[in-house]
Amino acid sequence: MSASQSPHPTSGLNDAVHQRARLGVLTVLAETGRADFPYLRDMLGLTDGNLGRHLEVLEGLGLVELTKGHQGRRPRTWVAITREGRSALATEMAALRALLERFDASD
Amino acid sequence: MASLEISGLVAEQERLRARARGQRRQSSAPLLGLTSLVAGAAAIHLVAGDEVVDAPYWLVGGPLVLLVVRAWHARNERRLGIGRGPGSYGWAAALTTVLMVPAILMVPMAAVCAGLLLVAVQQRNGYLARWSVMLGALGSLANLGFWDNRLYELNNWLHGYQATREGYFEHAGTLSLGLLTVLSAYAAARAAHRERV
Repeated sequence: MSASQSPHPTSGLNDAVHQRARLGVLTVLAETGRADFPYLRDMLGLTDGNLGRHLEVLEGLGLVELTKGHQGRRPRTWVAITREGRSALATEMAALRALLERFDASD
Repeated sequence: MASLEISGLVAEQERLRARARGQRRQSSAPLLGLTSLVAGAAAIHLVAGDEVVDAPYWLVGGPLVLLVVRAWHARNERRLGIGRGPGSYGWAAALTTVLMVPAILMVPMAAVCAGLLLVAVQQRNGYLARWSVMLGALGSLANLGFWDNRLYELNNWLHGYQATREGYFEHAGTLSLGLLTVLSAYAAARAAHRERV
């Protein structure tokens, strides 16, 4: 299949994952495996409410899992990436890199 | 979508990944543990010579080092809020203990490195896996006296047979473990550098 016939890299972009904060959540979790809510909030520079909404979307898509627990008396929410989440992140990053290559080739 | 926007997004993900990796210390902590274990073995060898007195040291020290790293990761997880739990280190300590029984008199270093390899496989950590295999192989050769013999030959070549005691270079064992300590420390330092970048 020639380059002109191959699907455009944008077809590999997933709107839900492509969003900057959600992509950041998946990237961090792919590295750490699991992180708690405050760590993700501080790492990504988000507010509690904003991060909460992004996590709801990712959890709804089965890309992350949320576990609520306690450490001492303090409630603690852990977020873990799922197999589907790793796969979605890998697909998204591959699509982004393919797009970049296309831009570079056309320069 | 502009090229600059995409390259910015990709670069941002790389930065996030590097920062998270640095905070986990996934490779440097276990390699630092291994370095301290081998350094201790070299110190024992220096004091006790070729007497087989280091068997209890490896039997207790091998699993203990893995449990110390496990505790360090558990503390890091509570403090920073990252990590998938230190569980794999518990299994690694158990595997090391089981393997140490047949390996204790011949290749104790292989048992410890097998434990580290288990951790590396579970964490999909290629760097730790490569160094575990390499240090395990080199350490086992040291345990079997292979490096002692090469150092003895080198010493003979440099200084003549008179420099050896009864045909044996008495510091060869300490020196080979010392060199292994340096190599392990290099691996830990390089991992720490990679984690900081």
